[in-house]
Amino acid sequence: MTDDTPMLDVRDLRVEFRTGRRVVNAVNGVDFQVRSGETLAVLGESGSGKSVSFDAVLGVLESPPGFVTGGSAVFQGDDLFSLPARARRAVCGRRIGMIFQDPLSALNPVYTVGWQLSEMFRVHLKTGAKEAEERAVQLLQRVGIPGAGDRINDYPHQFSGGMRQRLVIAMALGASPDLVVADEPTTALDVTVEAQILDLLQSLQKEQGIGLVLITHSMGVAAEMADRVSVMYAGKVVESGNVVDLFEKPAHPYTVGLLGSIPGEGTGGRLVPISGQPPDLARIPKGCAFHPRCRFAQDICRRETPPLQRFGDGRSVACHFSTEVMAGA
Amino acid sequence: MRDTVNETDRPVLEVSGLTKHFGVHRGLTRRLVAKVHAVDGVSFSVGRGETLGIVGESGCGKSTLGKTVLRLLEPTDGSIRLNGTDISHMSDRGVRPYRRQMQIVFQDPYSSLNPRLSAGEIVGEPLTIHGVAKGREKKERVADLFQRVGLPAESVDKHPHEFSGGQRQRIGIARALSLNPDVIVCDEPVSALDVSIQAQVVNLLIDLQEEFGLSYLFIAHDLAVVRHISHRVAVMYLGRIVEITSKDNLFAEPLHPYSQALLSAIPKPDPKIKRSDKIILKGDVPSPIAPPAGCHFHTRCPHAMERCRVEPPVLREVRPGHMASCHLLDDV
Repeated sequence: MTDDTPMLDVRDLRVEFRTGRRVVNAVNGVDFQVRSGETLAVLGESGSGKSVSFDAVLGVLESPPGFVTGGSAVFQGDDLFSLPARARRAVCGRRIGMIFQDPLSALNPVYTVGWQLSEMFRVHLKTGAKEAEERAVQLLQRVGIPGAGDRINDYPHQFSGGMRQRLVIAMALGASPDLVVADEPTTALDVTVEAQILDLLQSLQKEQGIGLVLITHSMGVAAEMADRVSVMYAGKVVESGNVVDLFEKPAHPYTVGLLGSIPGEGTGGRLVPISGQPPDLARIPKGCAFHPRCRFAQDICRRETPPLQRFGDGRSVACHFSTEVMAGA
Repeated sequence: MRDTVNETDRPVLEVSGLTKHFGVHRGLTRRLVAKVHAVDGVSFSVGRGETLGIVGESGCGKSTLGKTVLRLLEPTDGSIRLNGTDISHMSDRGVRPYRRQMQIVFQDPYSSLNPRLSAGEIVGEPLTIHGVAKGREKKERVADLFQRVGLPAESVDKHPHEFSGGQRQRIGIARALSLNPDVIVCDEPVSALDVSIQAQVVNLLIDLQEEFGLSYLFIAHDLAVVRHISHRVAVMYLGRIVEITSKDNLFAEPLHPYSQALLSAIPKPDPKIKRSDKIILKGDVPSPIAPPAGCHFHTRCPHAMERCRVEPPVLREVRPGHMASCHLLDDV
């Protein structure tokens, strides 16, 4: 953490999906701050709104049906939501890099990878064709693709899953961004390949001091990679804090539940899962959205939505009983 | 166990030298141009009430192994003995009674349930097919199964789309249980589920095992889940078992370099463990169409020697109850 002012500052972001008469409240007022040189893991299960939040920030939310209905996202002084589309694309393609879960859908099957990589230099950095190609080769070398000079003439289908993800990382890093948003970058990969990719991301990040947002459902990935973690549930951040504190002393019952659900070192025995299921986002429970599944729930949880309270040491928690939870967990 | 009286310690399932190759055909005449060596001489046994975990990365043949054991795929070679009977070369008709003893739970709870049937019909269907129960008796049995897997009784008439992923997996488990099997092959049963739901299903599988003395062949790529549920674990790489031993042995001291890398690669949910201690393998899993000669793993192995490139290592007992196939272990 080099600089204390966040390079990305998202406040009270709200996103809804409108399909027919149904309104799905996917993101309900979330804040994120990312500083340069820092890795923020956004942790949540499917439907928690983690991907949608950053799709909205980066302007790649499919709209309709998705609409940003409130909040702001300021990146290095530019308010992303009020920038004209062109200027915003320039920011999001160049100063912010994006890595998606499925590398195949992020690559164009009918162009060679060399063409796709050099396109980025031609468009964003206005370099000539020859120089662009040279830089593309350098980039492939940097992300560890063997025989880069020959392979730029190959098409995406000629690469394996892990290599494709390297291509996508190369594309995200190509224009030397200050921030990279990686949405489940290793979920589609095998563990030994996942380890390679996480290793690559971490070393590239350290080399260049970029900010990294890592959207993941895996607590293992979050624990290994993050400096800070934000846990999302039903479109809200329920807890965020320093990774060591959060894993050691979770303060939100949902975080406690997530940690209890992962099989650990113990020899068999029973896991302590969270009962029930995540809510239907078109009918989020009143009060705290987690109360129907929470073993700490009291009357107040059914009535009042707990605000996100800030504690010292950078922790914030949205729970009426966070002190009790922290003491008991 | 439930029906037979003379009870021995004989394993419920014994698999020996099991091999499954798929032909790759090209052209108008469908000429055979290559073979996929999906499963290549795999042997193991599963005891009563025991869970054998099968781990490996995609393409290692673990799912093909599960399907071949069930005779959903025709084995190319080798034998499968279920309660002592060799079912590997039986006709479709001949194998049917044995299917009752061995069932499967699939990975994807969305595509493995018929969307046109109600949950009750899905769970009761095997009872009809095998002529076990009908009418009132069947209804009672289905209600009982619903209760055992934790599905609400009133959901019998609902259709699969009305259930969440975790509940659908419960339906799949109830269906597998309906015929009172001895063995259930669980093919990635929780990997499509969210973490909080995964834990519920894992707990259910453990409870059912205790209640019915079931044996599981638990196929998964998630080592943490496998570690939690298994008694013994087999590690597969490109169609072969490279290491098989008790869970405790494997996780305390993996002997094969591939097992070591695999275990080291799992992201651990403890922020105090440093990533820098990891063994990072180079490259990807090679294609099972043309697996490397010698030891399949030599192309990625940090310790590969000349011998590994030519001579396939044999799976042997390196320590009591701990089998591995690696030339490095020859002096152990």
